Parts: sequence; structure tokens; C-alpha cells
Amino acid sequence: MTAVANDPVLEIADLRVAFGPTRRQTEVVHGVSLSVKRGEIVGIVGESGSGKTVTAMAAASLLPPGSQTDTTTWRFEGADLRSSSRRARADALGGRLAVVFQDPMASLNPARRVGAQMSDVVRVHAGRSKRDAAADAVDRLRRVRIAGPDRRVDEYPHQFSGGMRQRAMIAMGLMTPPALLVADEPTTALDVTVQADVMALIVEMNRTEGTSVVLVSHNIALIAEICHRVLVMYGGRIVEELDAASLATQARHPYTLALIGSVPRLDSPRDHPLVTIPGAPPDAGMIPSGCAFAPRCPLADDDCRSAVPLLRPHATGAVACRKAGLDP
Amino acid sequence: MLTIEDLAVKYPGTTHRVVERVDLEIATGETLGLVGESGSGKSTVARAIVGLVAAEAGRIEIDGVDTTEGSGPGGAHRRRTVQMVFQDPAASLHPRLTVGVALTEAASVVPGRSHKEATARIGELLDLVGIPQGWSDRYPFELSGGQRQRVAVARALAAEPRLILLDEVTASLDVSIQATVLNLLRELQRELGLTYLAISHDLAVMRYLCDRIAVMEAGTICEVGDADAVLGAPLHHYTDALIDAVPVLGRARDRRIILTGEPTDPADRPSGCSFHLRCPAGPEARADRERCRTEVPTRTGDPHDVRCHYPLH
Repeated sequence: MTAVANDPVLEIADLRVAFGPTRRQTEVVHGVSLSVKRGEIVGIVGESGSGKTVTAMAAASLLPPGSQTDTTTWRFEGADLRSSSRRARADALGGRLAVVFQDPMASLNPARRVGAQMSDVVRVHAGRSKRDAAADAVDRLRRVRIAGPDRRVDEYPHQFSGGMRQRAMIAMGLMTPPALLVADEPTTALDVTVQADVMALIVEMNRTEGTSVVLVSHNIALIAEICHRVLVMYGGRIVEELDAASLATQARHPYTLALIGSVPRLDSPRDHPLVTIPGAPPDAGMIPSGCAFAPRCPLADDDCRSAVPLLRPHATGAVACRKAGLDP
Repeated sequence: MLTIEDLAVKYPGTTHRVVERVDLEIATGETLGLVGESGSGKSTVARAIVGLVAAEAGRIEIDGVDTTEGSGPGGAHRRRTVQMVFQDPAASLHPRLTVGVALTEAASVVPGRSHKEATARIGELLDLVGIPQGWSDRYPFELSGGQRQRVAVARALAAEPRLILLDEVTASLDVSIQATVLNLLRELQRELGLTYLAISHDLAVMRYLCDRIAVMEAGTICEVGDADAVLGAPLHHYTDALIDAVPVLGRARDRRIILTGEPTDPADRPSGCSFHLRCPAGPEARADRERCRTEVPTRTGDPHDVRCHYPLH
């Protein structure tokens, strides 16, 4: 992986996101701080309703109208996005931030040829001529290993397989080398073999272009494999932050530990039953009085249920748990 | 308990076989897993067993009874013996029936059982899958995804099947919920002596659940054997590539094999070994392996069986 510089590409502090009609808004992200350095790959792992996708979409300024976003800091490549208009924000992010979604059809126009859609990016943001932009599109499709790229640029998205569409999305992100790629469950719908291929492309983009990446996934092993740093989200908050390399051995939060123990592994004896977590993840938008994991946590006591634990830094990361760190 | 011989399936209105030359045996009380990429034919094999698609050729036997034809005594035997649980529990639970009504209905198909006796079974079934008995008048929308999948399992059990087909049953669940459902399936098998045919694209889930594993590629089985042998020391290069692609927590990223190209399309199956165009050890990589292009490999017939001219060991 590429060297991680010290200057942040993205800095968000105390992000709060709420949805719903004005008087009955439900807060789904309760104060998340996210900082991504140049060249860094940061993973956000969590279950449904944890707020991981909303956090990533807020960072990309892609939340739908009607959502309410609050931050105390929001900077992208040095530009203050917090106080800028939607328009100014779009200018700052355009061409510098690329997004890959779980469902590539959500961002590809089914009625336009793939090459034309790719060309738009550089024609709008880099002022390239139509002819140069078309040549760029062929080049980028070739780089994401799509066979016959000069033929494929003239095809429509439905003529591509699922894996090819996802690679085309990454190729679109490569049109102008972006400072940040936000990838939300980019391989969840794909086979493992195609997943390995798509992940290799993201790592290559990080290595050759120095692009920073925010990778959102429910797959903790995938996150650990690709990322430098991992944020574990639960109930709309970050509950643990760790170097990816120490995730398997240094995790302290009872939720992270349970998550690791509950995933079947190819390399562990199958006669041991998996660790189970009683109950279900909280609904997005529930406002917990204490730690959101307390109702499912084997260590929780009355203190845990009454006040939200703060994210406390330690030598190798940070953890939001009263009980963690007592005996690491 | 289940024997499949030389099964081939063609969907109506198409000309190609999506599944062909499939042979499988499942012993009573065992779990066999079918793995492979999307489009490899895993779900089609399961659908053929329960009669949702017709076999074009070959034979399916359950307890020695020919159940290949959907109707007649074979079909009746199949309906008494086999149940299927799907990835999406909404597909097997009627949204406007309460849990109790759905279970009663499913339990009434057992021959010689009255409606009253079927109702009496509800509590027992809910106990088996760990759902409180008082929840029998709840509707599916009042349950979480994991609870719904448990009810779908209870509904399958209500008909007292001996063979249950599990098609990606945990794919739509959160990982913390998946573990509970997987443990439940293993307990039920031990308690009730059930036989499972499980389908999943998740190799780690399959290793946890299965005694034996069959790997499907382009509509046919390319490797089958004990789960530990197939996943620990695979013989087929396709199996090896699938295993290599799975991220493992605590292991550094070090991919040995990157498969190029798309999964083989059964509509456009190449001659010879169907995997030869993507095979990292085939004719595209090694000049001395030209026979893979023309000769269809046969199975060895060993307990750890493989269909490859040049197996890994």
C-alpha cells in the first residue's frame, strides 16, 4: 500500500445526521468524527442500522434532500465545506471525490452508452475535448481489465455483467484521479472471485494515484485485509477504532470481539459453536440512554445503561466502552 | 437418502443445459454443501430436487423412490420428505398470516393429522427455533430478519421433512444474527436427525455447516469430498481459486490466484474442460496442456472426487 501522508484529505468532526419531517426528525448518526489522511484507506465496519453508510454518504455530500446534517468541522482538501453552499460544495468535490455504490446501476444511466457517461466526468470537471475524453474512457476501461475496451465504450450498462459494471464505476472514478474514493459495500452483490479482483483495483488506485479510500462493509475480514485503519460502528456511533493490522488480536470492545467471534472462518475448527450475540442490532434512529450495545452486552451494568461511553484513545486505537481496557 | 444420477436441466424456451452431468449422493443425517459462483447451477440443482424445475435427463431418487417426475407416487413421496428454506424469508411466509396460522397450515400436511393436532404442534415448533410461544399471533412484519428466518425454518420443520434444502439462508442476515441461525441449524440436525443440502456462496459458512462439499462450475460438479479435504487440500484449480479469494481475518492479503474473465456462461460452454479458458494451470498458462481444450475430463470415482486432467495433487 502507498505511504500515508500526514495531511488529511477529509476531516469531519461531530457529525450528526437526522432524517424525517422537521418536527419529528430522527437522529441516526450521533456525533461521528472521521479523518482520512492522504493515501490512507479507512474502513467502516458495522451491521445494518449502524450508520456506516449514512456517515460515508454524508462525507461525500450525497445525503438526500430533507436530511439534516450538522458538523463542527467539515474540510475536504483544505476547503471548508461546513459553511459553503451546496453549489460551492459540489465544485470542491467534483472531480476530486469519486463514489462507488453497492448497486452500480444506481449510478449508471441505463439509456446512455458507458463511454459517454465516463466522458462527462472529464468534460465537465477538466474541460477535456470530446475526442480526448473518449480516448480517456477507453484507457480507463483497459486499466480496470475490461476486455475489448474500444468496443465496450459503445455498449450500454445492461450489456455488462455485474462485476464489469462495478469495474466500470471504478474506471469512471479514475477519469480524473480523485483525492478520495468512497466505496459503499462495493462487492457485496458479487462473487468472491470478482470481489478479489475489484478490491485489487481499489488498492492499485490507492497505490498508483495516492487516492485515499473510505471503504464501507459489513465484512470485517475484507475490511481488515484492505484498510490501514478501521472504524467499528454500532447504533450510530463509532465504538472502536484500530489499526487494521491489529484488529484480529487487539480489539477491546465487546461488540468488536463478538463480531470477530461470530463470523465462521475457513481456518478454524468447525466443532466449536460460533459466538452468538443475543438480540438484534438497534433500529437506526433509536436514541439510547446509555451504550447502544448494553442490551446485548454480557459485561453491561447499570452505569453502561445510563450514560453513553466516550471514545477514549489508547496506545493502539480508541474504544468507547467502560468495561474495555480494564483487562486488555 | 438422496441420489442424483446424471441430472441435466434446461429452462423452458432455452436451448442450452444450465446443469448437466450432475451426480450426487447424500447420506441420512449428513450435510452436503453446494458451492460455486453465481450462474454455476447450484440453485437449479436444488430446484430440480423439489420439483420446481423439470429434469431434462437423469434421475433423482429419495429413499430409493424415483422422484424425477413431479407427479405420481414419486412426487407424493418427495412432498412428504423434502422442504426448502429460501434466502428471503418473506418468500416463504405469507405477510397476512400470523406465525401460528402459517405453522398450523404447514403442519396439517402431515398425513393423518387433524387441524387440532397441528395447532398443538405450534408451541413445540417455536420452542425448537427459540421463538417465544406467545408470539404465535404476530405477523411477519413484527419480526426482525433473524426471527423471520427462524420462523421460516419452523415452518419447514412443521411438515416433518427428513431432507431440508437450505438456499443461502443466512445471506440476507447481519453477521451477529447469522451465527445464531447457523448454530440453530446444527442443533436441529443433531436433535431431529435431519439431512441437509445447503447452498451458499460463502465458503466459511459452508465449512461450518457441512460434512461434505460439492463444487459446481458451469453447471456441473468439478470436485466433491469431505469438507475439510475440499477446502483444506483442494484438487481442482477452480476450488483453489475460490478459496484463495476469501479474505481471512488476521491473514495478510497475498492473493496467489487472480481469475481472469467472467464465470463460464453455461449458454456458451467451451469445448473440453469448461474451466480451461480461466484455469491458472490450464492451456492458457501452460503449453503442454492442450488436451484441456478438447477432452472433457471425467470423474475419478474416489471419495475425494475431481473432474480435472491435471489435479493439484
